[in-house]
Amino acid sequence: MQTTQYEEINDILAKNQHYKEGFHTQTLVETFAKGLNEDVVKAISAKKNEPQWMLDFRLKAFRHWQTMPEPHWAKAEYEPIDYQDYSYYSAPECGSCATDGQAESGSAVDPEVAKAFAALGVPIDDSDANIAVDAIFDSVSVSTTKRDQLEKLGIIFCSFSEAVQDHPELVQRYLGSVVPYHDNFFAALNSAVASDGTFVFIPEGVRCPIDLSTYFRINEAKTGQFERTILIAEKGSYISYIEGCSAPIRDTYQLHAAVVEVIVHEDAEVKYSTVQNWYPGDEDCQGGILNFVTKRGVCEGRNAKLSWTQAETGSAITWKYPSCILKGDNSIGEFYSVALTNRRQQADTGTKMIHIGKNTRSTIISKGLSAGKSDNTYRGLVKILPGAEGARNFTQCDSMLIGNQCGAHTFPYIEVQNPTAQVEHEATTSRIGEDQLFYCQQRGISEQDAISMIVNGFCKEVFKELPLEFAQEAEELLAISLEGSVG
Amino acid sequence: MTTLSKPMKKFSPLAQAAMDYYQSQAKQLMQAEGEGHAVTAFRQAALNRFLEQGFPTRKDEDWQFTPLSNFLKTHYAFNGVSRIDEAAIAAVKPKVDGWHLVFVDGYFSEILSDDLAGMPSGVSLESGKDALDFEQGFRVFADHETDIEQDAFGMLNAMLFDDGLFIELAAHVRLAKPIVVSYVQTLASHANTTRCKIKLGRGAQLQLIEQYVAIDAGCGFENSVCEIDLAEQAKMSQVIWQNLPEQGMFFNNQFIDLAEQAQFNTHYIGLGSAISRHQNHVQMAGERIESEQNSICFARNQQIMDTRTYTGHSVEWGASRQLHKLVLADQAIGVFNGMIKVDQKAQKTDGMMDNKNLLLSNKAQMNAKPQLEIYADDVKCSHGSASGQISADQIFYLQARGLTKQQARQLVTLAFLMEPLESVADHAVRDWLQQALSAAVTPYLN
Repeated sequence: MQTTQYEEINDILAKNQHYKEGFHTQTLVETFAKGLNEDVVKAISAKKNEPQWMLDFRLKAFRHWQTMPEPHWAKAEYEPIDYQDYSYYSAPECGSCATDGQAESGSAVDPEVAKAFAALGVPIDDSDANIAVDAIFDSVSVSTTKRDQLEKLGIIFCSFSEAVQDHPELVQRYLGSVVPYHDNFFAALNSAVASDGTFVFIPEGVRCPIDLSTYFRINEAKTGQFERTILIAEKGSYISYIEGCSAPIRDTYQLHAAVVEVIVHEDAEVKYSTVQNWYPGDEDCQGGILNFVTKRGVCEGRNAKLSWTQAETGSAITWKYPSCILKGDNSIGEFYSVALTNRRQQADTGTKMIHIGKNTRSTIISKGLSAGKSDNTYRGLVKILPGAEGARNFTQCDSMLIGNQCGAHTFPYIEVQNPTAQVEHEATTSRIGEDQLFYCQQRGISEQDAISMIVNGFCKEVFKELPLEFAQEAEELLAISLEGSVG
Repeated sequence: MTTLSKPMKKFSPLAQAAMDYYQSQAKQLMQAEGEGHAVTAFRQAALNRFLEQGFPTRKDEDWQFTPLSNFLKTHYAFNGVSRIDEAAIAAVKPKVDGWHLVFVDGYFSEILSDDLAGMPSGVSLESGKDALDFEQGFRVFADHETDIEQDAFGMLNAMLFDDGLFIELAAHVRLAKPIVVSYVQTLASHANTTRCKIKLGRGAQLQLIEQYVAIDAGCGFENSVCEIDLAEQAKMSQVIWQNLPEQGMFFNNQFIDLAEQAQFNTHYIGLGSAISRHQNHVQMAGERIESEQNSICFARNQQIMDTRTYTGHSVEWGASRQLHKLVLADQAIGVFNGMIKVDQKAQKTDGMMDNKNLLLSNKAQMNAKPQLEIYADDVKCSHGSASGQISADQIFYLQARGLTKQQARQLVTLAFLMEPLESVADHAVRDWLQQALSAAVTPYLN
């Protein structure tokens, strides 16, 4: 009786013949040969014309990476990755000139690449869009918009490579300060072969008037993308930062190992939103993106606030734990997440909240949806250190299972070393009931709309944290994912 | 760097010395049992595994918060002459009407135990030592050997157990009174390794009370493994009272198999030992099983108290309930680790796991990990964990009604600890537990 009901839902889910971001851009590219060794690291550095300290950082990380074992503790099964079978640098030929001569960056973008971003709906020309965009195509940043307008406010918004050239003192000060090169396997790999990324600096007291955003696109086959993003919010500043991502349909796994470091100073607030829509692979998730990301922020000063919001719908495997180190007294960490897995996707995602300062507060709301034959895992750590007087944490993890061949798992770690702390954790598991669907259909709502309505209701607490247009996009993405066209 | 082949494990000198010591003890035991005894091959296999795996370190995820260095420092003796003081032993027996059995320093004592002649027919009761005398006798205790030997202490148990208890109730046999087993330590630094098997036939009912205590010098190393096997509609309730001295070591692994419509209820009360670790592995492999697991732990000074459960739902309509409460004073460390696993076939499962912790001091520490792993969609599963200190409002409320601050704190703490006892069905047993718990804990509450 149950099977028939799910057959219907799964039929709907199975109509997933296209991933609309799955097109491939043909353009002249410069791609390094496959393989990874010290020479490749040096070549990447040379290609970007980097100063000696940056090369030293890469080599230190690379040497350390070679001594580390590939971690397999996450609840995701995959073959050990052959790191020699990837190319570690790829750039549109014209794109590389864009990074050199940034003055005419708008016009220097490869027309094919420009078309690609236009098709993705990413405004890479300085249009009227109320958003500033850094567009990254494979290993390089091809365009950064609204820079002049932002510069007037003292905001630095540029690609990571440019920051290394133009603001070496800032990069040197903050690079590796939150995620050290030896932090974990993928962070070490990223530190060694970091391609590009975004660098954001908000000066003291500035409230950034528009949203800043980065769009990542992997285009070449068998390449890895290793972006490094650093975001610094000085005392009393505010910034809302958004990132999005996609990749063409390929038949081999592509690797994405990013590192994001966020530093929030006294009274500053950072809102970091992600809509992750990497290519999830075919029916069996073959060829999807392997997404191994280290995201971490530190609330350095008093009253600092860092909020992570993520909607995860893509990737064959997701391994991602955006974390907050709450160092400053009264600082606040938030984590809102919707993770949807379909087909054979495997997501192991969650957060870490490390309470160090007094009266620090954190909230974790995680909504996991599993459909098809996927596995969706929440893994989170809440740690209250002895000095964190009066710390407070509230965690809620809700899972929804759609179909009876998927799995939903919750692995919370709670470590309390201060008695004045109040830590709460709750988790529930539910499903879309037959009766709920029947009720909706009886009132003339199609089955598909009913599913999407119920799912959106389930995720509402998280979506309301996303910037408006983004929330809409996430909702649509979820609907499409459930239809199955994205996954 | 991408190879997955495991390198040979390296052990710290401390761990290596302890491993060498337990190996020599196992060899002595095997020699004493005589060559060619069937149990030798069984022990040797466990020993080989143990030498390969060694003791866990804090790098092992399951032992992250339970450091063993203090345990490894002492090499616990396997022989010694027990000092039997009948009056003292009689005094520590639980004040509960039942069939009392006594183990002294890990060995069953027929003289100190009640005469079992009056037991109804259909009850078989045998000491592990007697069972081991038979060529294949050890096999009744080894149904879960692969699971048991996942753990270093399970391996140690297989290598070294020399006594224990085998209880079997035939179908529909019900004991009017509980069986009360006291494991009494009288020797310092002595190792007590026991293995038990409890088997209930269809519709049989048993109430089992186990108590781990010590008289004067006792502060040994208790390492027990217990297999519990309930047939259809069988019903068992269990109480484990652990109040060993503060230097003691306590490791207890229980493997519980439940068949259709069986009911199992267990309460673990942990008060003593420097390091204590109690683990239930419950397998619910039949429809409409009800299981209930509870812990009450009170740790102080530098005690490390670890209570963990694994509950596997593999068939439809299972219900599992858990409530684990820990109170931590001084520099104590509490650990709770629970896992509910629901297989794809286990639709209509109703699982609930609750963990609540009270921290009484600035230096106490609580590490909780309530986990769910769910592969079926039509289930009701939830878990919760909360840690905090005594609410100032509650204290104020009680003070406003004339209690002193100290009385108020005692009242709130005791009430918090005793909640799981509400599901002890037998009134006499519950009364004994409430009084004993209050007497054991109150002196340390101020």
